[in-house]
Amino acid sequence: MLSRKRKIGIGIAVCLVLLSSMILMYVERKTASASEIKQNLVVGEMWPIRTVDPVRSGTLVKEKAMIVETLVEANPDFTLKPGLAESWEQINDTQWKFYLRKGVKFHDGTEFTADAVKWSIENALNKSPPLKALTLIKSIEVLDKHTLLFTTENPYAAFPASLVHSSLGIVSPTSEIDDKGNIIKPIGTGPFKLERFDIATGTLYLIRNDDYWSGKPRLERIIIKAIPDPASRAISVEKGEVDFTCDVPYGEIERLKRLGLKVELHATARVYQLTFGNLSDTPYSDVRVRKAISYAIDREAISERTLHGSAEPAVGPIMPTLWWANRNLTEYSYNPERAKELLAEAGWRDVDGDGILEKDGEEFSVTLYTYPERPALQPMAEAIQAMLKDVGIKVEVRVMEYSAIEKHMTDRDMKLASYSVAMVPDPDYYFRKMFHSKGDYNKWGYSNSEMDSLLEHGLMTFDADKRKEVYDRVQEIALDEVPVIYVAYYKVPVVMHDYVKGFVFNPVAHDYMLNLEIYIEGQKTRWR
Amino acid sequence: MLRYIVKRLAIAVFVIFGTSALTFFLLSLTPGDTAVIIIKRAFVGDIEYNPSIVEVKATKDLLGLGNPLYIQYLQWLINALHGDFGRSYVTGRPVLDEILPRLNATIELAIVAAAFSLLVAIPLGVVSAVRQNSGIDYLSMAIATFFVAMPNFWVALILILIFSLYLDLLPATGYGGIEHLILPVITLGAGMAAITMRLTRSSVLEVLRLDYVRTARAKGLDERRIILRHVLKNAMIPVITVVGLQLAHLLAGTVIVETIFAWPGIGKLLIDSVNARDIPVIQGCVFFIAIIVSLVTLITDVIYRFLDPRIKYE
Repeated sequence: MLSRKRKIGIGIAVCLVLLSSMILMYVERKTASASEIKQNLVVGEMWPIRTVDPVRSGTLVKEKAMIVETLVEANPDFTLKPGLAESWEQINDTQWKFYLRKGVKFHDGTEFTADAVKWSIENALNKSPPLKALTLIKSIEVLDKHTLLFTTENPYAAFPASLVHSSLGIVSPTSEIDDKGNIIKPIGTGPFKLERFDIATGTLYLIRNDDYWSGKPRLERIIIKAIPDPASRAISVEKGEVDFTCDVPYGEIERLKRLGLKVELHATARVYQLTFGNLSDTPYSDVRVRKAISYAIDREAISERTLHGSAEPAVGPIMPTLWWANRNLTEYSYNPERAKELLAEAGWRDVDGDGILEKDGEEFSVTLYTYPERPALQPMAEAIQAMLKDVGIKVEVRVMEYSAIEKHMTDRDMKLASYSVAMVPDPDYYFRKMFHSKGDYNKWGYSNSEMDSLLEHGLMTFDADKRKEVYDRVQEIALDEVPVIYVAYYKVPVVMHDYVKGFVFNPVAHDYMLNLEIYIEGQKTRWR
Repeated sequence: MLRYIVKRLAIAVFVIFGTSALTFFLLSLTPGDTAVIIIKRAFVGDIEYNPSIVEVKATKDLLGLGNPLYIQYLQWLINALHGDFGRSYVTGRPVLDEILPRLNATIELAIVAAAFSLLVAIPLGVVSAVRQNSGIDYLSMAIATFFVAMPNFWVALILILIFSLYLDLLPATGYGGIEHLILPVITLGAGMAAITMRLTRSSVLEVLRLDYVRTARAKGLDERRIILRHVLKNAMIPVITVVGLQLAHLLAGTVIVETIFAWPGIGKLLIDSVNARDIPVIQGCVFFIAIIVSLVTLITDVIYRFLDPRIKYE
């Protein structure tokens, strides 16, 4: 047994060693990389990164990692532009010819040809049933090395727009594929190549594609790390562990700005809307009631105060900066007096003086359901609860997992949810699902024959201006009849250090999209 | 003893498969149609997306979800017995390829956290008991109560704030060297240590009052010797039991810690898979966790036997 003195001596020595190694680590970190500017970008990604198969992780592989590209791309106002396809023309109601860009190569040097496109798209359609429903592709025919003929099941005006979908990123058949057809290492045409994917940590290591057809990117490397917890993302970017991230908790936005980080809030094509249990039954069957609820909501207050500026008040479903938006819609600006008038007209009165309206002996007391997966929804629901109370409607807020809501919600209840208006940059996607009497989202029985025929017509009208007229009218009816109430557009906070330059936000992205003009200017300094 | 171990292993096999059957059927009770959720999470990436009936049917066919439950389970069981745990609905990759690279990250975290908590808790517990009602006793009891009450994620965020943000000594998230291990280990270990420390303290206090300790003192034995050679071994008996149970809970606690620290373990894999209804991966994770827990409890019981020779196993 060691003597007592020896033990104390060893104890002190161990502590000294630990202490000095910690000091050394600290010093090393501070003085390291005082060398030349490295064009490396480290990104903190919000979703878990499980796979790099573009069919399953389209958003990651196309929009963020920029490894693959699609035949058609979209401008920030949602008009279409050529991507890997230089141009396209419609042959007849169900057939389209696409002319591919020449001289493009995949990351491994193989030539980009129509055969590769056919293989890539067919592979995606076989693996993902929703893609088939989205594109309505019946067959793909290779006409020559750079020309393809697509045939759709039905006449489908939104077909070119559907090709923008990130799961349709074109990969080379020479990509590494496992025995079940899942793509393990995608070889695309984009400005960045996949160097390595660390499955366990969910980290992507990307390296520049020097031969990119549209010009060499300035960044040499990109590392995309998955950090699913919003608070952790905020801390990571603050510390400089990542240079760029998005979707941090609202409470952090002011603080990060004060520290000198660039925080940009960008409106997206994702809209928060209120939907009703059933439009054929009281209380929502009366359009005056629906309008009253719309008037009762103070969208400015919700956007600026409840959500700290992370939302923008919405009039209609489409943001005014997008080409398809009808900019002449009459809005339901905050007017609680008008709301009360309408409710009274509809027969709701406060008979017993308790502040809650009644009609035929029943109280106007409903439940507002929402879900936790989108952080803005709960505060928004509570704000709406307070605003509706002011006009005499009693609301109870219940938060539960999205898939559970359907089981619990009754005809008398409301739901607050967010919807992406543009999984593809075409109005048909959202409007048909939401407003057609047989639409997939339309669970509340909205049925208007003029709306139905407009939507069916819009599907088959191929002239862009004529289509705009159709969808303008669709939006007008939606605002007149209020089958759903639009509250606000989701604004995504994008946070980056000030040495990250050249970032351009594109609302076509599902979350955010990196662009090849990004570069690093100056040293990556950390302030503290 | 050997016969006992073999018997326990046989029981463990039943436990593991029983757990997997129970999990499978519980999963089927969760709200929402599995095929719909997989479309939303894995194929489209938009949780509000409502797929049409055609898409749902096609997905069910693609993934074999159309069969009645008991057939799906039996299919899984037969494949599992051959070592084939199926493929993830989310990534399409074999389940073992998802679990194995992440398993050692979780085991690393769990073992180091357990070791840390024991190294802190037991000495502190003994000292508190021996110097009952002294300053150090009150201080450690206060700290222990604090960590028992405070939730994991709060401790994690406070540690990150102090050591990562303000002092800039350690990284906030990630996996790599020792510097990444420290904060997650303290987070996980602190809660465990608090409980173990209090238990150690009360157990030692109890043993100190026993007659044989009084005899030893009367004999003139050095106090330190008494504690280390006589008291400790007996006081550890209830502690070992609880520590064994705690290790099982530790695996559950890793879910939160792994999410906050972006630690690449199976806790995080499990929660992501539950959200996505990725049944093959959930089944696989539960299976491995059941194996680990069964082994840990078996080892605990064996150690128990060595600590207390009065216990005889058949």
